[in-house]
Amino acid sequence: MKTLGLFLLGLLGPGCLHAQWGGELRLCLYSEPRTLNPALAEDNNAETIRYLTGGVLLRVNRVSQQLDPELATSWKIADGGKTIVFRLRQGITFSDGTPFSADDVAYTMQVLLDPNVHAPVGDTFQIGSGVPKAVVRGPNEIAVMFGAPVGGVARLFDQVAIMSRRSPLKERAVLGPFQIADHKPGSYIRLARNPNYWKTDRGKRLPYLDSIRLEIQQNRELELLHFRRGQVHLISSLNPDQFEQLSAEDRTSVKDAGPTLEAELLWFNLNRSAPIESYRKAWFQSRNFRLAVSHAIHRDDLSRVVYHGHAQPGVGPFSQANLFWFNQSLKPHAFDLDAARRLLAADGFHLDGRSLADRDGHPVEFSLLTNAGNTARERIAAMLQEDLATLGIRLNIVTLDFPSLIERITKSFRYEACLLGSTNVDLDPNGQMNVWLSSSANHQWNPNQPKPETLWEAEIDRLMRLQASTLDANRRKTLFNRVQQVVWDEAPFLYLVNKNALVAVSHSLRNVEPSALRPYVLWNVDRLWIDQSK
Amino acid sequence: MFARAVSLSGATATAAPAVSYLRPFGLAGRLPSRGAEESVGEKIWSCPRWVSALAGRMVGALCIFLLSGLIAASLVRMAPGYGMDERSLDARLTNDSLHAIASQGTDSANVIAYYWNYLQRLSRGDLGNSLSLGRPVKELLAERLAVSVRSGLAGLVLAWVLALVAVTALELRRRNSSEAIASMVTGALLCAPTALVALACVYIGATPAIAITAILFPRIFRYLRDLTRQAGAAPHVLAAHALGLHPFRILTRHVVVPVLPELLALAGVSISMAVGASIPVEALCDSPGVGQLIWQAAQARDLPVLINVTLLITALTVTANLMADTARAAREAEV
Amino acid sequence: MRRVATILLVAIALILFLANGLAPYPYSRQFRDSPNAPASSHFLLGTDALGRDRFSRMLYGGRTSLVFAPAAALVAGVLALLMGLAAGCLGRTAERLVTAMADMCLSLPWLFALLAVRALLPLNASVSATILVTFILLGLLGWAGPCRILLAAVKRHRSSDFVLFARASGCPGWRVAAVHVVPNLLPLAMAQFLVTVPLFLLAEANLGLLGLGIPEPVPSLGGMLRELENLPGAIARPWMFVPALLLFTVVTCFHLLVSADKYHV
Repeated sequence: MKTLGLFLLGLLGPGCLHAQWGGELRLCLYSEPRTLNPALAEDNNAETIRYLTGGVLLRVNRVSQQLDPELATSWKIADGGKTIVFRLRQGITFSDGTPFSADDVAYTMQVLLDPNVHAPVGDTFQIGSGVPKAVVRGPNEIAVMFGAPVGGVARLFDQVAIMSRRSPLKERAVLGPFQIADHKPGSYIRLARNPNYWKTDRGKRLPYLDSIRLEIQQNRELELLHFRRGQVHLISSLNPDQFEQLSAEDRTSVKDAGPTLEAELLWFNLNRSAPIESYRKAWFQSRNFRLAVSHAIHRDDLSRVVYHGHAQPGVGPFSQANLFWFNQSLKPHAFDLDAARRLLAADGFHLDGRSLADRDGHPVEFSLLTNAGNTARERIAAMLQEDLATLGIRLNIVTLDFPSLIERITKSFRYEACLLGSTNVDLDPNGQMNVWLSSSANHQWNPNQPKPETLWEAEIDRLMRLQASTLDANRRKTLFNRVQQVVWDEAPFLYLVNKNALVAVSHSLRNVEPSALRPYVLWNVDRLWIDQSK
Repeated sequence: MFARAVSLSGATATAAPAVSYLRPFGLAGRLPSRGAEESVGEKIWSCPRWVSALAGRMVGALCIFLLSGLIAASLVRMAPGYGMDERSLDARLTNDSLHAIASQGTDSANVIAYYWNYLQRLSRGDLGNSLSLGRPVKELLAERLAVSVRSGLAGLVLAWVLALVAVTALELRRRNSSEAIASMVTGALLCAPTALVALACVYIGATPAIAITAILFPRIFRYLRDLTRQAGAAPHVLAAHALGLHPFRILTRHVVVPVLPELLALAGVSISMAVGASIPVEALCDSPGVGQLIWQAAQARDLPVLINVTLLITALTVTANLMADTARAAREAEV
Repeated sequence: MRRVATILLVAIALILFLANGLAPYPYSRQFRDSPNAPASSHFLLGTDALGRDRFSRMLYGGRTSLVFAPAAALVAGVLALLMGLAAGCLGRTAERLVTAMADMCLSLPWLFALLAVRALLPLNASVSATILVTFILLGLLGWAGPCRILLAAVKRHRSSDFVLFARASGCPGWRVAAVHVVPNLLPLAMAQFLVTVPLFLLAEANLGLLGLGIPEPVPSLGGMLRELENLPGAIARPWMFVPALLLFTVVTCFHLLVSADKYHV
């Protein structure tokens, strides 16, 4: 009998080992969350806390990238795409025992859409015209109505943590797997299990873990030290150097979850009123110049040298990590110096000795702004300097602290080119609406245009608005594929690399399935458990 | 003694005891004159000179305190990046939200008015609210001050003790090899980046105080060593050696005493050094002290925190230097 | 000891001066197939994260840093000396003014002034201009602490015998200061100088966080020392400590030159 049991156990594999209840998961946050109010969460750390504590109507599964029902058992799009109706689970209570109902969803939407709050999540709902409103249709049914059809509206609710209207604890009463138990500012945040969490396993309420302790730790080296000493169970985003170090020590403690939605990109200042020399503006406005620069960049080297192979050459707004929306027909701009020289020659650039000069004889030299303190970005900049030197272009690297950099790229526009990273939280292109619309303040290369200054920007505006109001996913994909093609052709952004998700996980932490989407390892936090024997 | 005094080499240090030799001749321009006796009435009602001097210094310190706050506010306000918020790069926010966020930073446009309001609130005990952490500055400082005082003070005291012990040992055992070893140790510590020192302390499990000691010790030691070496070459010290006095007695009575003013000045300055060292050490060692708060506030251009912290540091620096100056003045008067 | 220190310093100076000829590769050349390569016959000190020869970068960086950092320390020292003299010799008002300035200089968040300076620099400022501005700033900001100590020394020396005699014999104030006070301050100023050189060298690397400092791809010793912040990585590759060893050798040799038995009985 015993032999049979062992045999069966061997057949089923280690995955079937029963999860153990108890234990405290320990990890680090890189800075103090700006707020613990889920409605106002905007930085990564606050969003992590929201993910761990908030209950949502729908959840984007971080592995399959499909929508999973959570507090809503079902949903349907009605009224030509202007309304989404949710049916809610019954018998659920908040962490303090307050019953959950449709009224709480309405309250949450009211808070998010308050014009005085300026919640990022609330702003994502204001894609079409007018302000959406939530209407309670019964204790377990709620409709959210928009002024115009909104494509892909359901996935917006992945970021909406439902708050209680009636609980005396306000936003501290939660529906997620954990609740905030203790907070020492600047030091740590401790989350305790939500005793009323609605998910169960084997008749017992999840999560498996008793608590999570998030240490506020800015220094990555110290975080790594804590991990080595077993004081921390996981590191959600290792840098490539640390990954290699840990990998050399213990290959099984690190995992590369593949390309993320994050990209390192470069853009030129195309703002016509920017306080830079007019001949430089002329260079940057030239599509040939931008493409020539792109062709001179050795993206494979960037991936290999800076990221030790844990990155992919960048293509466009989305990486291969975005299973549905990525335009598979596009490839990264090839490293091709001959093509680069032809493009430059077409615009009258020529070599003057070893330096490139424009048709008026100005030596081609410009500055690249980036933020100081980001080692990978500084290395990328140094490699770009070498790459462009082969064309005779002199690149001057200017590293600034982040507030100064923001001031230059959003207010004074006193910059020539900028190297930064983009982080996409949302898989849907509607999440990038404010990047692609030429009238938007986040249209980085030339923001706040009263009307599009180029035909291709007008085309992008049209396509983005059209796909935002289209309900058919495939039709939307066709439209956004076209946007990606235009961006690839015109190169307002030069996408350099898409980083991979690199995580370190302690052997005692089980059921880990790292995802390339945030929050990486914690996406299934309610099912993570600690093997007390390790 | 006369010949040396008028020599043009100027390389000779003169010991304090020799000054008293000159006093009867009244050649010291700053020596107290022996004029008419003061009347009894004048003695009762006139302030002792040291009290008026101290009062004058405190008024000066207050002026420095207030001016520092204004200059700090101006520096922060005028520096590029002030009022910039990382949220302005959040692609999810609409133009309206971005405008609203941008306009939040305009309340401190007029620095003088802002500072005046701040002083009024300060007089009521209100230190303002941190822009980046969203909490009262008073609360933040109250949480963190104890941590910084403990580590900073411990680091500073330890650095001084080590420096004094090292200098004493070198003076008692005058060997070139000892000097060489001391030079190498202090050289190594001076050449180590602060981040490296702090991280090394974390790796070995040492407290931030040890990191601060490692940073301050070579600087204090170098000054002390050169002061004592210079004072040790004085004629009266040579005479004391020739008379066979114990080296320790010579060190304490005839070497250290004449350079006490410089030592006191160094003590005052070392407090500023400790404050300066604690900022990166706390940030790197993840010690939740004022240094870490300063680092975070500087990155976020958090004006309320930065003004308060500047005033705190100014108060500390000025007080330390005031005490050093007062002690030095008292010492000079005694001599 | 002094002989050894002198020989070492001269040798180092010569090697750094001849960097153009001695460096096997240009400092910016990236051997992208050999990032973080170990020390070998091709790369005497291995390569950095971008495949640049560390030995070449140390030679060029050492030359830059070991010229500019002492120059900035000299500026700070001279400024401290002049301010200390002014405070000690020109009367109580001057003393109060200088000590007030020194106290404020020690307390104020100069980081923001440095940010403003960076903002004023043109985007495409030349490398030499950026380096010059960096070290001038360091020099201008580094006088306050030493000034207070020098002031105490000035006051002590002013009340000493020979100064009193010099004044009694009609020596003008400037001559008393220049001939009788300043030489007695030089040992203290030298101590300050020796402390300040490595501090400025390391501070230059930190100024890179503000957009100042020595810009890429020009190497600097301070920048190379920042590589050591990845301590486990550095311990696994001990050749990374050689730039630190170079700096340590130079600083120690200076200390030995100064502290050798000049003053011993």
